Amino acid sequence: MRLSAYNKLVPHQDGTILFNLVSGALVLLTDRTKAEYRRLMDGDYSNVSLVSTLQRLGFVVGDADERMAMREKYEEIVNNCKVKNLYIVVTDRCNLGCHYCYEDKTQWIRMDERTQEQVKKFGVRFLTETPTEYFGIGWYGGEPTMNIPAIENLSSFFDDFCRKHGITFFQMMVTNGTTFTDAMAERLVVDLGIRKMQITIDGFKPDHDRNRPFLTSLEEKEMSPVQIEQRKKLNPRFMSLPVLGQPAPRSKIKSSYDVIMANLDKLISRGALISLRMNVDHDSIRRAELLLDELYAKGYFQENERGGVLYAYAAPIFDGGCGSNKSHYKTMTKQEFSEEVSRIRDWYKRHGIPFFDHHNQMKFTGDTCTANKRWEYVINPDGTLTKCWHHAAQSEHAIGHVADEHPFVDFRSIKGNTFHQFNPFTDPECYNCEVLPVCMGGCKANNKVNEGNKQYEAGCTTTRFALTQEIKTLYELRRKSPARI
Amino acid sequence: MNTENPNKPEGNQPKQEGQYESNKVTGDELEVVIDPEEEKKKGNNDKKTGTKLVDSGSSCPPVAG
Repeated sequence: MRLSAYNKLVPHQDGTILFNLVSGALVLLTDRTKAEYRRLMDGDYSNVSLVSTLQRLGFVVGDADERMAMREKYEEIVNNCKVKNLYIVVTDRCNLGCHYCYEDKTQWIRMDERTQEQVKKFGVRFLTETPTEYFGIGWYGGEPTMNIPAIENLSSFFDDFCRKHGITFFQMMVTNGTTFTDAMAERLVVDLGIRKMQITIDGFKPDHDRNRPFLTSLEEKEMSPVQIEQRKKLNPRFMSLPVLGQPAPRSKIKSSYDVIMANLDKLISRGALISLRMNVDHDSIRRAELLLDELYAKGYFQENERGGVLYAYAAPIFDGGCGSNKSHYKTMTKQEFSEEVSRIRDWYKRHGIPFFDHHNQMKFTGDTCTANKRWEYVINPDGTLTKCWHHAAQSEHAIGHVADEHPFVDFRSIKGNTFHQFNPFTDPECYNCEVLPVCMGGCKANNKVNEGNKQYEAGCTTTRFALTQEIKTLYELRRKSPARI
Repeated sequence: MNTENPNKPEGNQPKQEGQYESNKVTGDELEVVIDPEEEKKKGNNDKKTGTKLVDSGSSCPPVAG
């Protein structure tokens, strides 16, 4: 019997917070209980009552290595063949020219009908290779609504297949929100059942429009050579949406913010669950409340009669270290973001709306991302398979193709770019890190394995850089509204 | 009526044999703010809502440059 290696003591004006990163238990120690805890630190476990309670809460553990138990759970999730997900990039084309976009978009293609048929065959093999209970599709791009026919075709096919085979089917979409007409919203949300949508807004209007202009509204001097080539292909015929015949925004519309705000109503009124991701830098996070005010005034935070509702959360823009196209961003360190996000948290509190962020997950779950999971793939417009959304439509990261004879070869044995083979339990730095239980190696595509041993801050979870602050925040949130998290 | 805790340590008086036992903090005295078992039991509806609305990719960082 001993104290967990993942206990953390944090001084606070109310006393001393004791937090365990595996169980997520949190207690407030008074001078008296802290003195008793120190006896445990000295190896005195004679206080049976106290030890028993601390054991139940996860602060006292058995003699076995805690990391071995976590590793078992992690491996179980990584290899879980009953839960499967595909992220289908139906096009790498996009109508926005966001300065920070990580996608090369050099293919600039839409998934054609031949590839769609290959995806269906791949999907059937994927779902029948082992018994499947749950199947999720994430529609992704580019801007996925620029290839509606592919979404209609594949969504209907897999919906039908899952119904026949008793598999729970779930769909979500990541979209920039600029292309929706009423007809398209009806088709996607109501007919095809794609209710969950992630839409990104980069803060309040001036901040958003500066970061996310329409490709067609950019001055040539503002554009990269690739963007100039892309815009040449954005002729009116290309920009039209063949199935619904509705023209997409033209160059005379300058503000993508205004278009998105107008489109939210089309989606929410039809029962869409909008996850509004606010990408923010050091400056724009200070004005993000103005965006929240606008959304609040429209009543989007209140679930409507069709179940439509919106939730907004902040995600920081980090410095990726490449030094290109980022001159006007004031990127934040993770420590800074952890402090600045309190503005958003306070706004939710003032408006009586529950706030959710990664603090809700401040405990070990063993879950990890697509990069590591055995039964998750990203399918690109040309049918190639990659292991991360960040590598959408980047063929140099491909680990196979949907038409391969044996597409389900264990990708972890593939040589070359090995970020998807990263295992936090075999990496010395992660293995010995105090936040291992809540991080699980962080972002695999940005971590040191992928970047020639150069440790980018973007690889690790925010918690690594702001653990003390985040534990204090968790305590204070619970104290102020105990039933809310 | 004397309401003072009879077990309260008295100043800097030297500890007597057996005194520690009577002063022991019990598990019930711990001020538990988050109890994982209780969290599990109540199933927390708000958390379900949050899970429904915050995407799995919410922690994936957008990276400038």
